[in-house]
Amino acid sequence: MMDRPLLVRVLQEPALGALLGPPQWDLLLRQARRARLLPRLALALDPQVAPAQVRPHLDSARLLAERQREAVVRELDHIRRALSPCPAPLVLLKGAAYLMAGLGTARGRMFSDIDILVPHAHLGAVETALMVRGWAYGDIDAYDSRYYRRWMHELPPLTHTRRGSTLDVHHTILPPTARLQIDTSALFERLVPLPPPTATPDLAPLFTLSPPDMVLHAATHLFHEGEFDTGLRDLFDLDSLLREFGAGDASFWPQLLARAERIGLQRPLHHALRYTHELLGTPMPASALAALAAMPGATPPMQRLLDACFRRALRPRHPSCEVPGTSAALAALYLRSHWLRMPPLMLARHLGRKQLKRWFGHPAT
Amino acid sequence: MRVADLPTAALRRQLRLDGPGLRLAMPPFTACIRSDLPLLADSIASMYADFSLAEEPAFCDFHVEIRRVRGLLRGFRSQAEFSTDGERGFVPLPVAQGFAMLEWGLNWCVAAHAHQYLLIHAAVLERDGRALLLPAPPGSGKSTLCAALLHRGWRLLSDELALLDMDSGRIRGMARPVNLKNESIEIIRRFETGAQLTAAVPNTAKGSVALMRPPGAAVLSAHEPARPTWIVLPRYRAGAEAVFTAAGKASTFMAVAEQSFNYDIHGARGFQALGRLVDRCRTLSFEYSRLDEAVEHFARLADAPPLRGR
Amino acid sequence: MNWRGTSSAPIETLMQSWEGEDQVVFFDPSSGDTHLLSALAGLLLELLDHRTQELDALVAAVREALGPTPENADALPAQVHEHLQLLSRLGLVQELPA
Repeated sequence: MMDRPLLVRVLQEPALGALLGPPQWDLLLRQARRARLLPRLALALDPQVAPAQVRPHLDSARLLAERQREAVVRELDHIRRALSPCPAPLVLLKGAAYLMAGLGTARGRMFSDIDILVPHAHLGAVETALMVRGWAYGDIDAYDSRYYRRWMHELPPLTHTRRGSTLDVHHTILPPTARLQIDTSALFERLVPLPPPTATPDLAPLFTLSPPDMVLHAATHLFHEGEFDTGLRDLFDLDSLLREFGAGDASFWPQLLARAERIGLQRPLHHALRYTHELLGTPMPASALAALAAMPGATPPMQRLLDACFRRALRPRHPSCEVPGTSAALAALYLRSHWLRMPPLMLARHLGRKQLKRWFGHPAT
Repeated sequence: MRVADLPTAALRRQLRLDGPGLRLAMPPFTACIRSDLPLLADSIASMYADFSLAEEPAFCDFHVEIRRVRGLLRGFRSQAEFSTDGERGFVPLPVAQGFAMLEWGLNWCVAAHAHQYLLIHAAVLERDGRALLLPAPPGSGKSTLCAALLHRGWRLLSDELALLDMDSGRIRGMARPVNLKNESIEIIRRFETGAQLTAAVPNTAKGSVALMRPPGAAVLSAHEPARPTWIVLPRYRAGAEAVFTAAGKASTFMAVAEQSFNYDIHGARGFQALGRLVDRCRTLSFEYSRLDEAVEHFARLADAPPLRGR
Repeated sequence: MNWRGTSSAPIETLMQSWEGEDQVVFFDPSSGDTHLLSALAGLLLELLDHRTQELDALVAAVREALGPTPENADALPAQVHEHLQLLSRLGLVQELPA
């Protein structure tokens, strides 16, 4: 069994901060930066506990996160204004959803893009409405553009020409070519309307997915992911959501399991519950654990392989947290994510092209 | 202990990628530097000779690495890349530019993370406890002017990165090596023949770059902030007579805000702090062509009685 | 048409001006933007701070503030209107129905 990284131990038990000496604070901050968890750490710690030299780092992280939250709120107003003429429900996903729904996990987060979900039938109208208001596609070649439109669950990323903000418009949560076939319409059955912001009551209303669906989306996103720079952060998001939703509503856990079955997302849920429980100690009712054990899962050898991979990938991406086999694990999960997303022939063609781009000097992303 | 007190072998050992890192005090920060480039060890030994090493055990604000990149696809041209906390994300550059990359990288770290200050892209110098701030976009000649002034009675705080303490109103700098480009390199060599410069490295994105060792006295006093007294917007113009012109406070405010890395993060607090800065300073623009004439003008500025009122 | 400033914070915290200068700086908390504005724009923002005024009253107030008639007195109403349009585009004032 691998040891828990310092960052994870302190995030689970912030009082440990009082026991750390300067070299450990040094290590803690480096792990937190790589894991994109510095703002979360800053919020978890009692400000008095950190030495004087460390405090400015925590304060800066908190300040940045706060400014980004304000920027997201402003940007959402612009998006609502642009999409007011469209009848499509405007559903927030990921960070923007956590923020506007007032969920605890939003407070420790950095924000870059905004992700929204609209029904596929309205995609064209939404795209047009956004472009009219100044959003545009970046530098994207013909192959990538075709790839996105035919095969992906989202439009290519849109950037606002004046403000520089990025917007990802999803029409489902997994690519249509994915091996896991899900019932997208089910997501739209249980949307939760958000109370309109007092400053701008007349613009397009905002929705989020229902709490169980929000968890399922987070789980699907993380466990279909190919790159794990924010893997641990996403796992902490899941941990937060499960704790917050679970504490608030006795029906949450049964609903979570029922919705997973209804939509077709039992496999990602299985991974989410397994790894939040094992790596972060997320509390779960006995009924959930029993259901988890009973879920149709991977064969034991496959499960062992997945465990070996995810236990490595879900550590902070800092050299101090590397255990043997990490690069192999990351490579395997990268391939796996593409395998999950598309049929084999497409996969070979697509991966070959992506690799070529990396070798021949496309700007690092 | 200073870098100069460290034997070369020990310096290289500390810098090793798998070593403890060279823990350099650059008040108000500490940087931990690791590298496998021999030239970097030499440049640090000369340019940072007067800098102190942090006491063990240390908390370091920034961990940076400059490592050689090898790869068949890159041919046999050796390149180096900069990373922080082990994370790459910048385009590799020829090995010869290793030290310039370290300097640029350290500035990036401060600009990206040190939001306890209002960070301004400006040269800062001190005289009698009073700070002269020279905010300017690249190419305005501020580094050349700064490099000259620091040899003529002004203490270097920084050639590029001014740290404004929004509560006390004082300005700080790290007194790190001064960045000179293109013609400035030769100009400063002639202006101050004793100045210690690295070899000029050609073909960076900015043209030729050389770094100048900061005066020992400035390094020793780097922890001392100064009271902002003058904000001068410099402009080099070939053949121009040196002349100061009064600049409006409102337009100076905007000029400084434009040169700030993190003004927008600070919202209302930044707005108030910048207002106070501009309030308490004499705001001027300055045009010049001859360096010695420029230096004289600044000496007279420093000797002039302070203006009354806002 | 009536005009009104949009900011909820007290104007002293949002605007800075210096005696004898013809420009002011203004911070807009709702957008996070900082603007460099003419003294006239600054004066209008002061006159509309937490107050609704209609155009004629504004012009009269500006005339009074500027003191003895300057050469381009006739141009003042148009100037004021132009400034109000600009401030409206920046989101610093809003037009309200009479």
